[in-house]
Amino acid sequence: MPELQLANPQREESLLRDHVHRLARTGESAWAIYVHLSRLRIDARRESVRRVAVRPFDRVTRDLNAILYMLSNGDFVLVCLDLRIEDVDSALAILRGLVTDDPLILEEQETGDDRFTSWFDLSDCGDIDEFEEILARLADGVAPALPMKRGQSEQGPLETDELGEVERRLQEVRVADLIRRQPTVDVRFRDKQPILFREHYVAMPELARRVAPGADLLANQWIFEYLTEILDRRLLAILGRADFEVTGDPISLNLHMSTLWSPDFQAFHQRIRSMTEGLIVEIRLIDALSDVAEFGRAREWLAARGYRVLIDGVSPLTAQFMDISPLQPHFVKLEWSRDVPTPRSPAPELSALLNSLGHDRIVLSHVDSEDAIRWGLAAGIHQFQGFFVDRLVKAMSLKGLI
Amino acid sequence: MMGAAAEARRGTPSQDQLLLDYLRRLESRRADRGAVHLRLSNLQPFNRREHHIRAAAGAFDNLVASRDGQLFFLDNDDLLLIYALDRRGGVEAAVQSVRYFFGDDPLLGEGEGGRHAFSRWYDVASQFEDIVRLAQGLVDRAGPEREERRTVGARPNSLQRRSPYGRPLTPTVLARLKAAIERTDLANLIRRQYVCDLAGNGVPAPIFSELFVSVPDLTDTFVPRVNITANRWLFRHLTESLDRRVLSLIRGNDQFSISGDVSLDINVATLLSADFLAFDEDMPAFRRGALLLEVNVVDVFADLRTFLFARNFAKQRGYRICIDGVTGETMALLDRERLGADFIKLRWSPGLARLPGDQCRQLGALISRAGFSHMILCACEDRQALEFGQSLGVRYFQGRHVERLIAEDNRRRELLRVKLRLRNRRG
Repeated sequence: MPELQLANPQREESLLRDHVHRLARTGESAWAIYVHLSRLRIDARRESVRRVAVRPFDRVTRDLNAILYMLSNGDFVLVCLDLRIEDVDSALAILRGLVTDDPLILEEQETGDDRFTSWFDLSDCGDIDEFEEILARLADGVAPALPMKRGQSEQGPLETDELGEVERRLQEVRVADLIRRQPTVDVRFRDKQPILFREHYVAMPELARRVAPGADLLANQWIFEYLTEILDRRLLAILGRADFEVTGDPISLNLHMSTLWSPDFQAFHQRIRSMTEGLIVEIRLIDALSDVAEFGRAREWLAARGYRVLIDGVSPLTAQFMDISPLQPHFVKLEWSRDVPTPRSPAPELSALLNSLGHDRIVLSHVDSEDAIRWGLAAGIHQFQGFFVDRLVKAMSLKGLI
Repeated sequence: MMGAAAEARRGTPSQDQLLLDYLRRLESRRADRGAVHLRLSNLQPFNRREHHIRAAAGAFDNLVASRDGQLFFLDNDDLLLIYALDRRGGVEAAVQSVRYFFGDDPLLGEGEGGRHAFSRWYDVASQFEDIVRLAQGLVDRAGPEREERRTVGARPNSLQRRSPYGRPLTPTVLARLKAAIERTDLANLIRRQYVCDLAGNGVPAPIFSELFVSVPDLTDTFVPRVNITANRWLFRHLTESLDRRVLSLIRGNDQFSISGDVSLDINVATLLSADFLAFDEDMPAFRRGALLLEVNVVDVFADLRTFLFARNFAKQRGYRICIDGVTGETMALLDRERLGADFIKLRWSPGLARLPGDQCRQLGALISRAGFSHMILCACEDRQALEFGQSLGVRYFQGRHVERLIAEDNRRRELLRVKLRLRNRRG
């Protein structure tokens, strides 16, 4: 099988513009389908995703007169000459089958509106103009660019043979100045004490620049988890030295289960043992899943000493596919993204989670807009964290409200 | 009954055995094979760092890729290459480039004597016994420590089981191990274990067999005395390399692919890789239903959106999906149907038998909800596991004890055949 050439979408875009231009001149009967892969929730710019997504079109591009162009925003275009619509339809049906769980496709099934593909008749002047305009916008970079997602920065992934060196640097690099604090707020504003806790975390992009410039630490999930395990210990060492009582609000820390049994955490615990009630340990869902029994033991151990346990790294989508309540966490952090399954009304599974755990145990994190707050409130959530919340808190404290 | 140690030893070849196995398979083709032993262990320590060894091994990449050579990493950092004699020129050039690479080492500055101390050439046909002795020499060097570890013998899905033995895997050793995996034919490290229906009269009826890389043997072969599962994240990362190698092995090997339904461990990332697409392309459509893809539950939820995409793709192509890495505690969290999995593999542990009554009933209800014909109890080491599973309605089992039942059943059949033959002769 020939390896797909995905390396240079800019070049493909320019080839496509030339092609459309030529077709417009010759007046040949042709049509184009613009497939809005980037409107899907899955990361359409990831090479692996695109590779699989365009594969159903192998037959039409190989045996029939169609050419496929990959675009820089993750979308792709199929230009077809003398082709039966049915030939393309079957390929499109296969592609839709791959993303049946996507809100866009679910909505399409509900409303009958096709928001996934746009069709252009390339023998029609109006259509050509419209199409060329879209391509021109792509070239100018004004087309709605996708926000960068995990593992798709300009940088390459971290190679395994560089990992040892990165680990060594991680153990020595200055971290204290990269510790950030972010509040979680209860918007019901009871007793003028809206701040539930402040998460202390290390600013990863800045840290990455220090320990692995030029590499994308997030490109491989497992390597990232490994490195953050090391980071746990650095964070504990620094916070263990800090004066806890000064901080006031309860704090939360993201830790791996493996860290909890390490001497580093035990030393930390010895230092702060009278103040454990002010501490919430955040454990990522995949870490808990990798050994659920161990999570249970960790939860018991922590709870018996006054700590509270939060499950982090849960998306509303996860909540639809997994019942988290048996883990019995004190809190669950749901990650807001535009990836919420049903933007208008929360899924029944989510309501079930809220009901079984209690609304006071759910935090909506990554809140970057009013939309997120609105969605959360509609779902019955009243505790929020994120950049939008930071701005809110700042404004309120300026006005002396908190 | 055979002792556990002897039993483990019987089924698990180690590095030297791997090499010996390879030599044995080579016997008929001895005449057209040569070998060269690169004694990197004689170099100065500062020339023996990981990247040096990797660079040296890299010189033979082309030979290995074209299957004209097989490279063995010996645990003292030496390399042994067995190659097709008609590529001797290429091998010499590669050895020369390695020599050049280490040109500043005193070992290579000692004229002819130094040359010999660095590389030693063998003619496989006439010096076969010497090479075998070289391979056996490794046995002695490994010593009793290896013996002790072997008796612990982790099993297939023990991907997450942690052995208290050995040094933890470090990034440096991981890099070396990955490089070694890329370059070696892992065929000797592949094991097969059957999943059987035990619903009948106790006679195990195979449903499919899992093909997997034996972790203890992999360790012994490439990084003895290292515990490669010590860190779960590094180990998960390593499995991505193993995935690709296993796919390419199965792709080029009928022995694996034509014998009944088969399952493989695979990462979501691998399912979307060019390697898997190529594998899929090669696979006749009618065979795809015979392949089960086992995805670890951590991998499923690490990026659920991507898993759903990969799952839809795999199902469209006709493959079946099994969720692996599930324990009694995980069961309560999962909804098999929702995840679109054909099977869930629940891992047996003796703790399950000690569950209090209500928790046991609850687990039974979860198994029933997932569907009795969709549940496999794996890692069944003994009869207790089977009894426990059967008491909760499970009918599919996998594990060492199941293998024992299969062997027993085979013996019984064999005996029956002999009896029949004897009776016929008398009759």
